Amino acid sequence: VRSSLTRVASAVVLVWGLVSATVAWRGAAMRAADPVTALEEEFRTLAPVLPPSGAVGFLKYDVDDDRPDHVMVFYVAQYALAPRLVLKRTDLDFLIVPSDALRPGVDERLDDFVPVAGSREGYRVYRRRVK
Amino acid sequence: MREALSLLIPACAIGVFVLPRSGGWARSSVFAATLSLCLGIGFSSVIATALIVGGVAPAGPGFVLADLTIWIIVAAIGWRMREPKTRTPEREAESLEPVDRLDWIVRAAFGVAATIALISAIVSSHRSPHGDWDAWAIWNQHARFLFRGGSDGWRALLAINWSQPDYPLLLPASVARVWAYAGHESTLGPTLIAIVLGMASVTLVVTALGGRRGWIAGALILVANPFLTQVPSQCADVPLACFIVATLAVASGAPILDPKSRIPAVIAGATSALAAWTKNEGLVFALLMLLVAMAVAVRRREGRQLLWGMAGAVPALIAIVWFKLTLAPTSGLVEGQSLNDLVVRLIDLHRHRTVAVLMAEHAVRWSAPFAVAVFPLVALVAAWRAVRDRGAVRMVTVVLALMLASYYLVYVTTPFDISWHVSTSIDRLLIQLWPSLVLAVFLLSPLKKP
Repeated sequence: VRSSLTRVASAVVLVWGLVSATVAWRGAAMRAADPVTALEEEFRTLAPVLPPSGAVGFLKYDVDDDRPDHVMVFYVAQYALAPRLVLKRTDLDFLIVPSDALRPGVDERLDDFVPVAGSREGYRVYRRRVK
Repeated sequence: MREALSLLIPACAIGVFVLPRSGGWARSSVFAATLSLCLGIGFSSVIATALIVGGVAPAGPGFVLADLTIWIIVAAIGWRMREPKTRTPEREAESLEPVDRLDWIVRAAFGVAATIALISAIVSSHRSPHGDWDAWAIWNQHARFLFRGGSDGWRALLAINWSQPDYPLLLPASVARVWAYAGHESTLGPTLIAIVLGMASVTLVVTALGGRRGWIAGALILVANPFLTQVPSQCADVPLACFIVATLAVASGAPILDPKSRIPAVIAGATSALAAWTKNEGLVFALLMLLVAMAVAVRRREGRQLLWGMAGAVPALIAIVWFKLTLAPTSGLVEGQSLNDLVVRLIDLHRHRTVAVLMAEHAVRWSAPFAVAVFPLVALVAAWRAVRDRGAVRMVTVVLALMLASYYLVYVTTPFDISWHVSTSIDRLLIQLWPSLVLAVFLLSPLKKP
């Protein structure tokens, strides 16, 4: 009896392993397209106008800066632009600006900056004006 | 495929030490080859880190030359130290063990499941080439700092507090090294490391156990959907699971060379230290394994194996101690926390209840298709066997139970919101222990052949 039970249990585990692997395959095939690749490409096009190292600024979103998709954009900017440090500050010479981070009308946070490069989806690099 | 070559070079060099010289024993050879691959990835990350810190930038021309030279020297030393060919009666018996029809059915079923799991990992990697959120926000990002920043610039990563800069460098340094061999950054590098270590976790269990129970144990690992989906994530939890199961398989007397020789102790020491070099949870595991080794040494009144174990741990331990003491910022879990804060949280019964309930809820949900509570059920079987049987199964189960207890304590004393902390990490923590838990269940459960 014990031997038969062991055989049944073994068969269940093996079939279950097959089912689980198939479910994982199906899940992988149905996985939504990765947003990181496209975002990373945006920031890569901006990299040539930035210094090769050191800190660059990133304009905070005027509204909902801690919303997951906004956090993701900031994190991917850092991932794409390493080994530069991307910091949410505006007192640096270079500033990365997502188009939807701007305040409506005139955003006075950009008063001392001029745009120097932009990506297809509207991410821009601003440089501090030389006084 | 220079990426694959970069992983094979250290594996071959370590294989000279580890691979059995007696032929005709496939299980031992596959086990040793898998261990060599894991140790190769681990030790090459230590060497890569040393080279980068020493001023050899991975993007520069000297890195591959220096790395290759080191591995040729390692292989040459291994060749000189090789023990003479031996063939133990036990191994001969294993190689001559008859394989019946049922065995072939079991093997075929496991083979199909493992192939589908591998395809699923490849498809997932293709859909998400940069890996899951933590992979690109932490591990691959650190790899980019190491690869692009060179000897000094990489240290800038230590200033990004949201990217867990206190995490050890096994995975990032491995990825940076693979990129150095490839000559450029590629998503293939981290993908390959992730899938290789995922496959190794299963292979180590299958070959350590051997026979029909090995194949069934392998199938049980594949049953867990969270494990399968985590393999291609490029995070450090499956690599950590791999080093944990490698240590426990070797420490519990897996068939590798002569159990009386120094090699198993050296390997167990090395893999436990590499677990610490992979992720902070690995530090707890390495400490537990040290305690186990000390207990065994005291009980047997023989400290030589303990010393060999410590010798194996030295390279990775130097790396982790250097990193933690000189570079890594304090972990967010303890930063700004006084002893008083920790004690107050520790004696707060409400926190204990919250953590226990949340962990139980997630453990029940951590599951397989058409099933619930796979992890708790398998853990119960392991606990039952540990109570009933002495020896390796008890050692493995106690270590895993203490690992779970350490996770629990971290949650109870966390400065973060408990619900957030548990819900965003417990699934991955269980993955770290899953292959070892399956190993514990099957260690003393030989399926009787008809």
